[in-house]
Amino acid sequence: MSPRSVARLAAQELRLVLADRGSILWLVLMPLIFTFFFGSAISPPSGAPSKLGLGLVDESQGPAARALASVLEREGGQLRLHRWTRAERDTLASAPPRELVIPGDFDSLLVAGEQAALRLRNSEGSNDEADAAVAALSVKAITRLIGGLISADAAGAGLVGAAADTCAEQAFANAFRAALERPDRVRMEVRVPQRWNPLGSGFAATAPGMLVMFVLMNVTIFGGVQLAADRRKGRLLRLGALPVRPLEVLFGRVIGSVGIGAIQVAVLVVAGVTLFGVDYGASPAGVALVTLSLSAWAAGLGLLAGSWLRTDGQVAGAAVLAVNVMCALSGCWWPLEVMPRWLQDASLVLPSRWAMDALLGLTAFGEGWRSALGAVLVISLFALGTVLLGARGVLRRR
Amino acid sequence: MTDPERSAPPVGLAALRLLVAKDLARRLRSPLETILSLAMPLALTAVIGLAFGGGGESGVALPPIGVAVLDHDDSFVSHLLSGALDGIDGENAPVAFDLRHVASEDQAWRAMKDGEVSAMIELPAGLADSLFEGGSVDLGLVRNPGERILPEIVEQVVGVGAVLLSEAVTHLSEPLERTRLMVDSLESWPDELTVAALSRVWNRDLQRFERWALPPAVTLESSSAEDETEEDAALDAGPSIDIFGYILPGIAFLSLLFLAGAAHRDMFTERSLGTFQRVAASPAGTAALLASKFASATAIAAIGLVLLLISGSVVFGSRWGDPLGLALMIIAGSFAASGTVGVLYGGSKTERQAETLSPIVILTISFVGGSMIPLDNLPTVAQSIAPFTPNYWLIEGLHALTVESASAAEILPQAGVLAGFGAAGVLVGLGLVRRRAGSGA
Repeated sequence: MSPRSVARLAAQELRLVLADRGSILWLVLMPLIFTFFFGSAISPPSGAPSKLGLGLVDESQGPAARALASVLEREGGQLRLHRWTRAERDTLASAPPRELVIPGDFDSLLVAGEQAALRLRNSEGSNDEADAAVAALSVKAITRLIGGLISADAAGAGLVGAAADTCAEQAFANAFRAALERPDRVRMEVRVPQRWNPLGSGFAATAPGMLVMFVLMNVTIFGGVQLAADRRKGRLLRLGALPVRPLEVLFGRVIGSVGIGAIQVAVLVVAGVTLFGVDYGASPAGVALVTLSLSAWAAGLGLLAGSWLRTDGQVAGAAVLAVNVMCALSGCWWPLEVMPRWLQDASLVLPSRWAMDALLGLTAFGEGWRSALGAVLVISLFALGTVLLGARGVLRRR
Repeated sequence: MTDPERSAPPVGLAALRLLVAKDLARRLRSPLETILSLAMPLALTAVIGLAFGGGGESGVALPPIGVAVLDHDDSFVSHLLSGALDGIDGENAPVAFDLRHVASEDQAWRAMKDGEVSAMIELPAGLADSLFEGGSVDLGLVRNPGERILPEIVEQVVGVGAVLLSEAVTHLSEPLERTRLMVDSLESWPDELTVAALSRVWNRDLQRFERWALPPAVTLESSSAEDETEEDAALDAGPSIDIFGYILPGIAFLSLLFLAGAAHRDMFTERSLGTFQRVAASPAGTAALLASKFASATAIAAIGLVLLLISGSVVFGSRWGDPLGLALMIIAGSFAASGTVGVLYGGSKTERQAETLSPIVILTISFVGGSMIPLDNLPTVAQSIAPFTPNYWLIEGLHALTVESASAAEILPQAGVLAGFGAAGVLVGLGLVRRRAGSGA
């Protein structure tokens, strides 16, 4: 086998793809559009500083209701609080994303020693993660309210007396404020170890998934469509009359496909860093190793698709179907952690899952290229298997 | 001799019917591409449904969250706190913790890397002493950097727990401090007076505590507009909502757009083979030929949507509500898909141009319209653009039928808008093709 022939054939494969303006759109425009879409879709609130909107509807207007409002106002760093009376709320043209209603009998129930319920209502279309964060803040606020009520009792300025006259109400307000200003005795401190680069939200969270998905999709489709067209038009048979060996042709195709993968990676990484501010970690070599082995696997998939299917539509349809399902199961579309454990374990049979794990190690955990070697070995073995299977198919169905 | 009526060339509707039947027969002879287009939404619906807790139960269920605990204090109090965290088992809270004790940070990092743990809680050395002596404590929390959602939940739960603990130790500081002093100075069993005095202090503070905290004087009732809609639907004894039935309409319409695109692509194939020119020269005429492409695309999309909805019922057990309303949505949705894609193919000069542009436009409107990610999770800008896409109206219509048990009359607005998309697409698409045909392009 002549390396020169293989290199020439690989270069020809690449030239054919790059000469087509449509493929430039698929290699450049589509991945960027998708990165933008998916990155925008999971933007704040998680991990981002934007404030959570909450409307507080005070139907009670009593001292305990005011105390609760003052607790929520203290969360100004996280909450954007709007306070309304019921009448003011009813004049609003549209519902706020979420509202906390203090019922009219709130104070009277508490004074009577009965349990009172606050109603937190999320409107249709509100963000689920923001809703959960506001629910947690509301529970904290209730805890602080109860703490304040106990403190006020201890100070002899309890809520029960506050309902009776203005002076007692002022005393309750002062005692409650003093309790609120007391520093917490138990705090939670979130820390991030050095070198770690948490995925957070937005583009950083979606970038590794988009990288895996588009490398797989485009390398498989371009390789498969080209091979199917060559078979359909008899070009593979004509190549047999030329002084090149079938293995050289196949290797040329595989290396050309890996080249397409390399171009795809370069486009996404450069655009990710410059346009979307994505940090791909401290080991470019690790990212290159993972994505090149992934490209080799996709090249094998392209050989398989091109040798089994006849038309462009069939190859593209099969590739889109297979790649989308594999990517969804591998954590490219959503965080893998939300899937049931059995499905997470089952997805380990997919090289795309190994690639995602390795990329997360390199980016989020800030590890070096050595940490990716295990995944690269697994993906390369898969690549070898699919290339051999694909080559067998091509040689049989020329 | 031949019968003159039988040999009369078909014109008008008869020609249209014949041309559509020919297109459908061709697709039936080579069905693989169509099958793959229909398999994609089913496969993706299955994956998404399984990933988000489908498979019988409605709604989204999170798996137990792996949490590592690094206990530097190793005291009775730290064991008590670990026990409290372990008690979050999904029965008394919306989430369940799967707690594991680790001996070092490295062990926790490895578990995080393997995806077994979403966060590590660090109980600092001297925790018990600080709590008993009136000091303050910082609980450490390290989130798994490779995860996004579960660490956020752990942070919120631990944050609430820290506030609870803080309030508890603040209000029980005196009895806690006295207990510590008594235990520290213990050389023999304490006398009755000391025990009684301590008991009085505990009793006094616990009584104050009990009035407001045991049980909590204030509770939180959460609800969402979606919950209320589901409750209303349940009260109406209508079809139940299931995650597969919720996802499938959006992805199905995306698939319809691609199916319709494949049907419109025939126009270019027929041009290159010369059959377009031949039919155009026949009594059937160009108008019937062009209209047949839109009709074929609508028919193929409608058959595809029917097959997808039937598959959804058979495979996932989804129910689609009022049959009349469903039929209306299928016809209007298929017409809208054909019209929308028809504009793209009608406006393209070459097959390659159409093949390049159409996926970009289809995927973009599908994303913005809520086919790929539920509309609720999209940015506000996308949500405001969504009503300008046919995807949005098909999803709205099918959700109204399934979730809200709407009747055919109630989904007329959605069907009307979809029909409008279809009609506008046909008019614009036909105009573009005719103009190009006139200019010889």
